[in-house]
Amino acid sequence: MNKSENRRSFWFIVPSLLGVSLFFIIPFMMSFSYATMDSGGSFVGLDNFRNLFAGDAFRLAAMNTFKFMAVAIPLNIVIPLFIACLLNKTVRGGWLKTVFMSPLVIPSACVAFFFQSLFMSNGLVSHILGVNTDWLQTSAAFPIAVAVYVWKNMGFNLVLMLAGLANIPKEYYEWASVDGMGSTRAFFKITLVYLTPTLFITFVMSFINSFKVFRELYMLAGSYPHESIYMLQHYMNNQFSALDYQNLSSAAFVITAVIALLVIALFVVDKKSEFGEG
Amino acid sequence: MKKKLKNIPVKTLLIAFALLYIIPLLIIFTNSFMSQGEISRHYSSVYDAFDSGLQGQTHYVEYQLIPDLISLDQYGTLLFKTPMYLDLFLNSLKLTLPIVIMQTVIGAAAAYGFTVWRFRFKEIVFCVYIIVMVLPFQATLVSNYIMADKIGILNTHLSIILPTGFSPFAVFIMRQSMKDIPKPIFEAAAMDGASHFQRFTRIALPLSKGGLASLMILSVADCWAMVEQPMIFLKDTSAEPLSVLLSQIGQQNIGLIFAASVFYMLPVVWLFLYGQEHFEQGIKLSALR
Repeated sequence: MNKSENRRSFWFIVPSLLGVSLFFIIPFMMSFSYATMDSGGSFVGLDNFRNLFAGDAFRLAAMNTFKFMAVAIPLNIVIPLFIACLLNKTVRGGWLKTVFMSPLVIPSACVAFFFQSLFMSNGLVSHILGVNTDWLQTSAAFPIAVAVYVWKNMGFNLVLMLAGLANIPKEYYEWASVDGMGSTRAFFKITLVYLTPTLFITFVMSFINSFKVFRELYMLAGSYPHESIYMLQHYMNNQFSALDYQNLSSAAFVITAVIALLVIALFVVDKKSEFGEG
Repeated sequence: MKKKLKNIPVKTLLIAFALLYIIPLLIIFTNSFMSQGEISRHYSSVYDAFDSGLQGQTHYVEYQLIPDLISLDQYGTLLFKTPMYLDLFLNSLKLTLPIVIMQTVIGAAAAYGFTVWRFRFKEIVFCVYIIVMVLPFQATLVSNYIMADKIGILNTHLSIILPTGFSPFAVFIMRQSMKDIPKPIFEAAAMDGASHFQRFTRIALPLSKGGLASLMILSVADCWAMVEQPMIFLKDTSAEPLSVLLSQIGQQNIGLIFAASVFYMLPVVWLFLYGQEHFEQGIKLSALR
């Protein structure tokens, strides 16, 4: 490819680049002015950020979001991986895959309804235990939130992993067992290695979707849920409802900065990262 | 023989897992044929606790798979007595279709660009895309709001369609699938004098069909389920999609929840069953590398 040829290929990116700049990057820069102003519009420097970190609500929300991700994302990868290995060995179940994918289409309102009917004071769990506890108002709220997330999102990962597993030639396992490799070692040396690209995509999807669990949590428990599941999304949603754009913009900045650092670290650590040329 | 025996616990475990998914689906479907009265008899306590904070009742929820009386009551109310539902269904379509088309066209083109374009800072540009992609909606909310306000599209469907249509997620998915196409294919086509546009439409697109299918399915599922964006950007309730209405189902209209859900799920389920084959093949291709 010569130079002008290469330059022409750039035009394919232009529409997307314009849209992303116009709707995300430029207004994001503009919103920085909110983050450095008080509600009256005068410049206050970094005061908003100082207030943000001083506030208990923000710190609680940030900690909870971090804890939620640290628990829920690995589960959302390990559980479908386990099921995928089982399915791959037995039935290859075509219809099972469809069943596990169904939460993608079930309305969030229905998901919330079912979890509500299980865990509220008159729900199934209370019924079985013969009590009258609204479990979402107890410290059980956190595991329930994790369950909602994994139930909803693991099916997609499962289908990706099954496709990935199907692509590993069976001979590899035969050769490995001829060489006397145990099945546990084969799992780590063959399955995981060949599944890495798939695992990477499932990780990215799980990460993105871990923020989206807010929709169900909000329908289940409203703006102020039990303190163990009060997430950054609740915090920001409440700032928006209270029209506190200064606080909201500063929080958005902090979150963006943290995520940007994480993504850049991924790019730097793995130069030939899965994101890029690969 | 030995293998078969070993499979029994495995299968039991799988079926137990599957039941966690099958039972809710079954309940949604069969209970959509209950009368509204029967629904509230079984489930009203869900929203008693939900709406008014009433606690301490002993009337537990009763799941029931088979209705006492099969009735089309819910569907009748939904389709004939409350025309609003049909309007909102149309709103869902009006939001979803343009977004999916934009994401597919813009995303595929950009992915092609990122695949063949040689530029030292290309990965830095892409890195910015990834950052925007993983940000939660609440973090881009202010940005989207500012821009919608500036160009005067607040309270219109465009305020949702435009930012979502330019989603970097589409570029990411399409690039993942296009980077598996061997580079020499593009080079050979270029030697034969094929323009970029020809290489894009005749090579890149057909060879990333699976990526396209997965993108469309994910994008439809995501748009169809949108709740936060319309609630924030659309003040006018008659412009809202069905998903928002469903999210607001409470005690007064609880009797409709299942039929409304079936009604809501039908088009997406149809698309899923139709597209699944392509979808799985697509993932297989992209896992080949």
